[in-house]
Amino acid sequence: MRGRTQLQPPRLRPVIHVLGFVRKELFDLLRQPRLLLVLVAGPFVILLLFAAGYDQESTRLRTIFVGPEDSFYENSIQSYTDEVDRYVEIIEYTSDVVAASDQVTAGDADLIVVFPNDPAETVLEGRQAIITVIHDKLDPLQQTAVEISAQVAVQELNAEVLEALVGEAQEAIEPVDVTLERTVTLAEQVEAVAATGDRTQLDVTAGELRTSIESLRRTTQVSSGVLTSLRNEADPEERAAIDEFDTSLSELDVALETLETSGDEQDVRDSARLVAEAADRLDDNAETLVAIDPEVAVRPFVADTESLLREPPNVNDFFAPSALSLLLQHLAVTLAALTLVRDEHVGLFEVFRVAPISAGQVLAGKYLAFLAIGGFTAAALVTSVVLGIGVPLRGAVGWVVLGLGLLLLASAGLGMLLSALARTDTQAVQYAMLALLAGMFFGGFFLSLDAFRFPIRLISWILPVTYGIRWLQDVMLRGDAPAAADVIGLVVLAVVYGAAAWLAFRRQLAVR
Amino acid sequence: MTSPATAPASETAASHPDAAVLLRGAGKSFDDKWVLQGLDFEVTRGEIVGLIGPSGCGKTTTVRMINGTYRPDAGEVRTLGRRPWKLTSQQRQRLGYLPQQPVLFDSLSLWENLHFQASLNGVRFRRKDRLHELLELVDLAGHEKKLVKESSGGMQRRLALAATLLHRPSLVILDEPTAGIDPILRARFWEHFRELAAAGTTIVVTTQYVAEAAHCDHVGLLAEGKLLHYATPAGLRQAAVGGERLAVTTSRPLTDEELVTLGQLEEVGATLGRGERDVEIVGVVADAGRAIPAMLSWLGERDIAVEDSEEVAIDYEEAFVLLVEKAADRQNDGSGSNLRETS
Repeated sequence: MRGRTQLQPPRLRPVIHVLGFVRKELFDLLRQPRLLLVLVAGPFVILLLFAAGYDQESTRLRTIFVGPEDSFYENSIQSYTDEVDRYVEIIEYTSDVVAASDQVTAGDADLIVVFPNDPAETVLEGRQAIITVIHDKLDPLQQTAVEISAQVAVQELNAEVLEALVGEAQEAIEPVDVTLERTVTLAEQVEAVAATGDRTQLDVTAGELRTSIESLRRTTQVSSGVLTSLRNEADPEERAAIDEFDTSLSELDVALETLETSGDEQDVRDSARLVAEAADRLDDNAETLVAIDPEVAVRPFVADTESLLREPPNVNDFFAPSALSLLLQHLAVTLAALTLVRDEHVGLFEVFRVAPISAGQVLAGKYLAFLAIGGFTAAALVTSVVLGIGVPLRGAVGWVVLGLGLLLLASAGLGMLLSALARTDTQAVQYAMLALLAGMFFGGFFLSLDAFRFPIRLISWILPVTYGIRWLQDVMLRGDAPAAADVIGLVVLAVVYGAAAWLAFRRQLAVR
Repeated sequence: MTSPATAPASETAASHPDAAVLLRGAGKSFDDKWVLQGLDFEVTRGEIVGLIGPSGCGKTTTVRMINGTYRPDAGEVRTLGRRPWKLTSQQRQRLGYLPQQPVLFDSLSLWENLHFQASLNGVRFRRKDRLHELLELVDLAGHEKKLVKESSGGMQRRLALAATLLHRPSLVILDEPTAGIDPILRARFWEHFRELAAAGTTIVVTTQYVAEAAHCDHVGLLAEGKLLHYATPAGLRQAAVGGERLAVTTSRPLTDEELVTLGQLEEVGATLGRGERDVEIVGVVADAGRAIPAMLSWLGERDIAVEDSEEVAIDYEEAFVLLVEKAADRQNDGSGSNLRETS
């Protein structure tokens, strides 16, 4: 009962074989609605919950300040609220440290800042006053946040004290332009009196000039100090002016001393001329040395951050590409890790060994099936995060499609390699979970890749998600094309994992 | 572990170019223990060969050597003229293999499973008619949409058999295809196997149902990893009793002298005895077809009426038991050589 042949021509048979696997894998998944729900809807729900539930305010530490009643601290706290607002939410100022501790224990506060009772006394004794920061945080990241907050707060407090001191000092002296004008005038008077030969008047005028010079020196000392410490950053002309001013002031001093001590009339007249000339030169360079605002003097730098991005991403935007990449890697790795183990479990390997099908055709069919399922999931997720959550998609859609395609290919290859190494379903699932954990810790999801030392960093580079995260962040958030290293990385991983899975699978199918 | 004695395999293989399957001294070991030794038989194209034996006797290992899953550790195996693990994709297209455990996917329907197996074997896209034809054959028409996990074990075995045959292989290797199948459907299967064989398909089939030996052209009897006997079904029964068993019922009991004389006839050539009744003469002869007429003639010449005469065919179960017992006796006697009959 031989009928006519039912076989496809040989050159088309590989297509039949591959499509057979695509169909089988797709139907197999479609018949498992719960699995589909977990694989497709699950990731989206996780993303949605993350976006909806993430509270950026929660990173601010609820803080109680403890210090003496009616202390200046209470007012000071309010004054540096702006500086520490990013880290600290001020709950109250109190003198009761025990009650504050109870609040931390009860979870109503995160942090206690205890000011010293009599800081002035401690400082006058030549010691630094200690501000104690108390917390009960386990999380090392939060511990770091506490330390940063404490440092910022103490720096602000120190600056405030210093600002007050400088301000008071500056208030005690007259404006620099007045002092300078008087100095120049007195220098001219010295020269004029010297010409008359009136020694008595000359000593009086010279004394006034010396007082004026001292006043000028004090007035410009802060500005000069600040500018001197910023010399490297200052303009060259500015630096020359400062140097010349200092030189002129010194020359003025020397000339005045000569005038005061010399008994020779000619020397006195020459010195008086030098005094007048030095005073003129002071005037020439005085513009640079105006009296600096005390706040500027104690805080010469303030940070003004500007981003090169068109619109800096918020936390949800930043984590969306990472979450997408990680979820898709997990999807592809899990599906692929289970597939060969399941095939072996049902006895399909024995059929593979006899049937006219190659290991490459089996894997190609599975790749296509997982690409289809992963592609559908990826499209749904990207659409959801862009349209639903509002994550920006600034770059070309084509780059996103290519990146996700390569990520799925490389991840499926990794999964099939794991599947070839696993002996049971349980082992395969465990391997997939390990890949997920590795992706979370080493893929750049939470921690920057720079945080890892070589050779541990190599783990990052063998995970598809590492490249996927960087790729999607570049395209979606920056609007750039992906970095060449990431393109090459994903292609290499896809090829290497695919080849390794093929070799391992061939080995499994080898005649025994 | 030493290799069992084998025939010069390659020359033997070369001398049988038309054999669909050829085993010469083939053996297989696992973990330094021989599980099969000295398998020596060939399957010509278009015949059905049954491998019969108890569970664990080596039937599945034998078919796995034939289909290329296992490489023999001794001797030679040729399938379609080549070492089976060296078969090309084109040659493997001519193989149909039904494993002992049906390879089916629980979450797919019977129809989808059949489609998948068709794709594995390169069956063209327009395959609906062929799929329906096979579902009819295995009595599964109308169950196409049923999921495998919702179908019985018998249905799964039938589906697996259909999947094995759908690409019309020229060599079909079936590992216990009738296990768990009801007798009526088993009869249909064998009828279909005979039709396939008549059309030129070679079939190697293993079974635990000894009676199914009757459907085969040749039967290989396996026990404890050895081929105890390889013969036609009739030859198997002859080997079991040492010839053909006959029974002749006469009108009166024969004397002892008459029995001896009757047994000494050239056509009979055997020691005859009495059956359950005195008038019943029983014995095992080389050829009952020649012996019975000669005996009837001798009795007629002496006016001894014959009420009944027949060749008594033993059933295969009995033959199987007898052959296994004989093999055990030989083993105890220290003679371990296999029985083999070429017919």
